[in-house]
Amino acid sequence: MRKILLTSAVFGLACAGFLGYQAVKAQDQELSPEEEIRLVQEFNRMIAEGINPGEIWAEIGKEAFKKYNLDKCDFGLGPGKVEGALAQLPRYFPDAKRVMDLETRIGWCLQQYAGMTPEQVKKFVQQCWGKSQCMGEYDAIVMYVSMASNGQKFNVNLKDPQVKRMYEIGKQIYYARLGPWDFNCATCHAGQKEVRIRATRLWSADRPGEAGQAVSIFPKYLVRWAQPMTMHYRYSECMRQMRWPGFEPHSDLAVALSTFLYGTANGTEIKVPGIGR
Amino acid sequence: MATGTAILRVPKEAQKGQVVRVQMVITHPMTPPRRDPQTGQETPGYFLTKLQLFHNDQLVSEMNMAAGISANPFIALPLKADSSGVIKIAYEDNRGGKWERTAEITVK
Amino acid sequence: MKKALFLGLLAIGLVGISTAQQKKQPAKQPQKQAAKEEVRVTPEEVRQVLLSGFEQDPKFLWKIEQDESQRICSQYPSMEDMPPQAVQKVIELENKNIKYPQWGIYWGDWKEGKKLVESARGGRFASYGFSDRPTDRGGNCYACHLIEKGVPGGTMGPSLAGYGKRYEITKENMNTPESLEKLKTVYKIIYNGWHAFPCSSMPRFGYHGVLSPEEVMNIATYLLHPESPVNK
Repeated sequence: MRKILLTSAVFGLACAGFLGYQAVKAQDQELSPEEEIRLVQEFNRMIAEGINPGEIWAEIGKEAFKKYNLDKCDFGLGPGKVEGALAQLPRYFPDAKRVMDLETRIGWCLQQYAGMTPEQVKKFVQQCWGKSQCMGEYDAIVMYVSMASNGQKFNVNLKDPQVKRMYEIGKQIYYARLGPWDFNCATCHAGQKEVRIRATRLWSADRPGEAGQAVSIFPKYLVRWAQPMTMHYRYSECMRQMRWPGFEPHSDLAVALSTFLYGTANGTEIKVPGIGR
Repeated sequence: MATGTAILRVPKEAQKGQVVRVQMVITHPMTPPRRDPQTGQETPGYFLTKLQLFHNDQLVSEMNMAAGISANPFIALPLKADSSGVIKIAYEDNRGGKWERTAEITVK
Repeated sequence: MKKALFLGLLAIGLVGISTAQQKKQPAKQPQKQAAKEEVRVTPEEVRQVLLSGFEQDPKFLWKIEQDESQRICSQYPSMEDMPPQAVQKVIELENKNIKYPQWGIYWGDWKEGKKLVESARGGRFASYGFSDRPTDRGGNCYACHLIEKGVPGGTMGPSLAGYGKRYEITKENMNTPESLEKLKTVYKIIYNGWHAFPCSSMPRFGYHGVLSPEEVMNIATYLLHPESPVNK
């Protein structure tokens, strides 16, 4: 009798141990794409509640805005008016005779009102690229001006022929294969099928609404670099990964891509800053 | 904003007895202690160590932090609001920096 | 009588072909036409804007030239939109652009192939932050493919788990001509994927010199060898 009890107890323990081992092993197995996406969305939801660390840069930006005389800068709504500025950019500026997006306009105004040369502006823009926890004034200015449009919807004027021209050029560049890896923006960010690159789900310009969701949160605070990432920095990083040549910030290429992306995003509500890995 | 400055947000008004969320973001690199595998050189790290929450000069919460917390930490603490007054946070880091920040709350 | 019938059919056939040609022309335009009623952009303008956006470093100017296949592929947003003519042209062009290793097709070293498949380095240059060293090489295959069981990968390309098993390559039939032919097929896809899948997202690794023919051989071995972890 005792022997039977003993052996059954030992057997029971062994079974429990085996099941426990299986459960632990199951946790190590790769998650299915749906589970992974659900967990990432849960993470994003949790860190979206509360204060975004990018707001620190908005406060720095408010002072830097005055320091560099940008209250004389006209973003399309009058000198120094930043509320709603991001919502109607990119647009054509007759004083510069160019279509400009937000960052290009800031660069132009820095040259006009803060007395910087184009090389100084480029250095100013790139001061935080490749670094982490960098309290850059340029990122701060972009963050400050972008946050002033929070809650408004994108309203790029695609009827203006200059803007429309840039939109078309941007669209062609989006699909232009280039470089030793034959990549273009559409390699990752186009198509109807929902795909992911390694573990990151990709947005697509062909599926409605996704381009808007991706673009309406820039500048985006990146947890891994502990600093915000602006649109031009993001273009530069994308192009580095695509094995394209080095990117020139504030160039017509950036304006064309911005016009295409912000034009596609028309109607999306601005929610700056976003937060990402 | 230099290292150590913070954004502190509390609701302006609250009902008596309601639990409010005191939210803050502190600018700090929070670098962990490191030992270079090649040279063996050690860096002690630079991170916040303690955070205290006061409500009308009464200590409500105390939080010990270390290098495991990411840079520019966002911290939210619950607080039962039973009287109007001043909410203060005091925090320090491992290099001797000490800062304080206050905000006001009105309780009906 | 028969001659007349034959000539008549020929005439109808020719008319049919010419109208079909005309129909094909507008198919090439839809992207340009639907988009702009008033505004017209020329490829030259697009090229100017593109070039203005890059740092004028003479080291990397070679990256800016588009070759013929890239130019064809740039006109269509995706493979499905391409007319059969363009598909045919790209396949023709790319079939000429395949080079084999000097020893022909052979079973290479799958361990070396595994290192190349897993490495994401090589080819990335920037004037700030990090740049890859000139000696870094890799295919970054996990970005788009799932290869070994349990290792996270992307879903842009088809899953390659158990690839050799699917091709039914075993230790016994490894060195038969049929298996070597299968190895050659996989080699060709990796070296120049556009010869079979024109304008696909997959880079033409061998053609551009990102990977040498011997490295591509090692990667193909990694995918097909019965001993390799892909097939376990």
